[in-house]
Amino acid sequence: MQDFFFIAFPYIALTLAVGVGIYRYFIHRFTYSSLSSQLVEKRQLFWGSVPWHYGITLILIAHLLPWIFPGASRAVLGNQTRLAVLEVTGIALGLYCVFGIVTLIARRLPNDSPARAVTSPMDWILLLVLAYQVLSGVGIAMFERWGAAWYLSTAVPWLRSLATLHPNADTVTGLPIFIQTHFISGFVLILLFPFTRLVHIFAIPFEYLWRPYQVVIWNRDPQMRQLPVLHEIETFPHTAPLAPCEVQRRQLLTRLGILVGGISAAIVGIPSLAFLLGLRKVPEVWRTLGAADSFPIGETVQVSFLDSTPLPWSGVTAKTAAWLRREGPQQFIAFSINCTHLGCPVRWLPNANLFMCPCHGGVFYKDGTVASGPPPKPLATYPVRLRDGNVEILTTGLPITTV
Amino acid sequence: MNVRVQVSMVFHLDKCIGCHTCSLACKNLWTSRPGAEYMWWNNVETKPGTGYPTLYEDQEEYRGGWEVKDGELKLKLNTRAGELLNIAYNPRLPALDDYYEPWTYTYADLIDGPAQEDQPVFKPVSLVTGKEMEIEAGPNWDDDLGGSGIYAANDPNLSSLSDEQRRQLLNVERVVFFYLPRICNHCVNPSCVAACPAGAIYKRGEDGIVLVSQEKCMGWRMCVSGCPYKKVYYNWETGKSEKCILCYPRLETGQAPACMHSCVGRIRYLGVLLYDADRIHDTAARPNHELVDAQREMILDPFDEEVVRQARADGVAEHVIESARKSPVFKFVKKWKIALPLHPEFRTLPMLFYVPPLLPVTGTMSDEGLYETSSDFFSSLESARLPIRYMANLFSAGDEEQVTRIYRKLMAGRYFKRAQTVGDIDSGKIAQMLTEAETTAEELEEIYELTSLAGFDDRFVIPPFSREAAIELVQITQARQEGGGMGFVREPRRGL
Repeated sequence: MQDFFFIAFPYIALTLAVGVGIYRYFIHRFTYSSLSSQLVEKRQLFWGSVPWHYGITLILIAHLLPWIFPGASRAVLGNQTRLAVLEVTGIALGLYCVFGIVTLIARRLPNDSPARAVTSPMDWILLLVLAYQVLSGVGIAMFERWGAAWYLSTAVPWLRSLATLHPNADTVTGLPIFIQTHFISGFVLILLFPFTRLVHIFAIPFEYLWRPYQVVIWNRDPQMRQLPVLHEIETFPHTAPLAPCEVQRRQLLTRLGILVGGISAAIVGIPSLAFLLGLRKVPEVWRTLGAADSFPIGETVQVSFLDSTPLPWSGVTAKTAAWLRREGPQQFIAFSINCTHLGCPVRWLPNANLFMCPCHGGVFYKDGTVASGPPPKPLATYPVRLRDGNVEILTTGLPITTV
Repeated sequence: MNVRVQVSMVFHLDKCIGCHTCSLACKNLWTSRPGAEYMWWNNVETKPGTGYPTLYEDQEEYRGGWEVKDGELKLKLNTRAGELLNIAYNPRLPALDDYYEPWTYTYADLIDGPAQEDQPVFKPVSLVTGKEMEIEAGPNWDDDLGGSGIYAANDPNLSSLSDEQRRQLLNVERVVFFYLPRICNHCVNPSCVAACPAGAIYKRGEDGIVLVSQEKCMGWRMCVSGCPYKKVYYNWETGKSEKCILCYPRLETGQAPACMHSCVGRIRYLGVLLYDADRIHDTAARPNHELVDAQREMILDPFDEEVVRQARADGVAEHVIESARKSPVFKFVKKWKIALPLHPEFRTLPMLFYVPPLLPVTGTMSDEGLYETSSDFFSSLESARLPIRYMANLFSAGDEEQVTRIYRKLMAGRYFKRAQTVGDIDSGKIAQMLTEAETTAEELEEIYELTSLAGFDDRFVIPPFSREAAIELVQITQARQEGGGMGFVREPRRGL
């Protein structure tokens, strides 16, 4: 079930969004916009539309940036002041959006409201899902704080694994249901994209910034503007040869639309099909961490290793960290770096002999068991073995949070 | 020089009787669809009056048209980036209340109503919400000066009049009004095209008709604000903007636009003009008092050999040049110079022209009931019932000299014909009048012919465009007529 929601469903949603979106753009261009209701109702719209659009645009960017630049985001969020400022800004923007969407829904609700007269069933569905999305987002920000930090170790790896076509939902399957629904409804929105007015996101006319002000269109081919003097103009119109071009253009666009839509749908659709057919398997690989002698007995050190399926373009993001503790000459324990609460990376404090989580104050003993704070379970561990004097670790997918 | 063709119209306001037949012909043909009920691509408004939509001429409010800033021509609405930032909410958009909420009546109540003591009545029902409504305004709420003290008093064109002049307008003995029929001006420098973020509005190269591509239009509504004449309308049902199409399907089949065809007073003249596209920018950026003359210079003389040579080089067909020579619009605008554009100060270079109404009192009734003309012919201009200033605000960006010159010519025409038919004015006086009005007897005869006697073929002169016929060679256009109409291949339904 988890696999369906976090692997199959995202791919299905994306496949439809891209395929149907392109199809709608080329074939039903007339409908490819948002139906503005400003003409019939404008006072409330101002208080709804402006907070909503500005707020949600910034929030969307804030969600996308860590996903595209995880390394840079980690560096930025490393500073506590910056993290705190970002958290507060995020909550403020979220509340701004909530105010916007509530106004937008309220203005369409009254039975005699003109805005209601121009509301389609799909508009209602969209408004409700959007409202849920921002409300759950604000809820997460309020009750599961430092989301900017733990987002990096939970949703980002999952989303990146989806993008790199090596789907792996292990980092999110253990999260609280409440947080999971936020992810799922996010993909519901992507699914709704081609079937609702959301398509207007990809109609924002940036071209306006540089196009010439005036647009003149000639029915005739510019080359054909040099016309011979036609006396029997009414029986032999000079525009005749061009009309078939119009037809061909339309047919060409139609075919092109289906082709491009099909190709794009296939690109994102194949992984989801592969999953459904059971072709997906997460390989488990033993990775060498270093010579056993280099780890002093009784100490805990940070180690890093390549994950099981590094892709050529993954770069630094293919590296995973763990805490390795040498208990005795032959005994090693490899702890997952992620807190079992929401997956923030835990820190080893050698003086206190404790792991501490910076996000919500979770504390673990040196053996990984919970000392205090919200974590429900001990730190997860990797299988470790000794071979030829080297410590090796099995790069299995670990559930980092277990609620 | 870059010669282009513009299909253009002249409205002779002295002949307009304010019957609204043009509006209805247009409505029945184009805007009787859901979402378009409130639109009047053609409307006739009473001046002085607030117009439709209310106070559309107040560009401090709506920011339509262009302005010259630091010597550069800029959209008054916003910068390009500013427009994109305002895309979620257009602060300069008129609301439906500024037009009016369209309604119908529950006519069935008259028949289906229960037996009762009183006559059954029908109630107004909103065409937007489908609910009962109170009618608070309509498209011609201040027609024929109805409620002028409340409505017309706000006419922006009255702003530069003195308080005394404004008071006199409300005086019953002096009360005066005229009608102003308006359609899209099919401007040469259209600000709706420039304001459209999606690039959906365009000017047709061959005939200069400005159209909105319904497929490309994303409904951002910047054109509605951008047009200073408020002649682009947002269809709230389809989410697209629409405007007067100058009945191009009719023009292409050789028929006059519906508004012109139905005009009872025969006030409309339609023909092609040649203009120099290279001069558009310079013309639109001129100072206010030069605008009218500059636009007249931009319009080219099809009898000028050099113009004709260049027109041929620019691909203007021979029959179009031929038609431009016969164009009644060319005569009114360029040859006789008695037609002016509406609000040239908006700098869109509107290509529809108006012969201003000759409202001055030219004669008075004597005590014996005889009609007496004043001794000094042009003195009545100063005592005109509607101040020249007002006309200048409407038609010449405030340049009273432009209007006065036209009035002199029009009055000279009247006295000239009166001398011919009644014979009570001596020829010396007429000769002096012609000199003062800078006209000749031949010119006045020509004006008289085209104004009073002209048949339909003299008022409506276009070259054969034949585009429709060309399309019909390869497509069955009839097949689409019943379904979508309006040139849609598919029904204009949004669905989702």
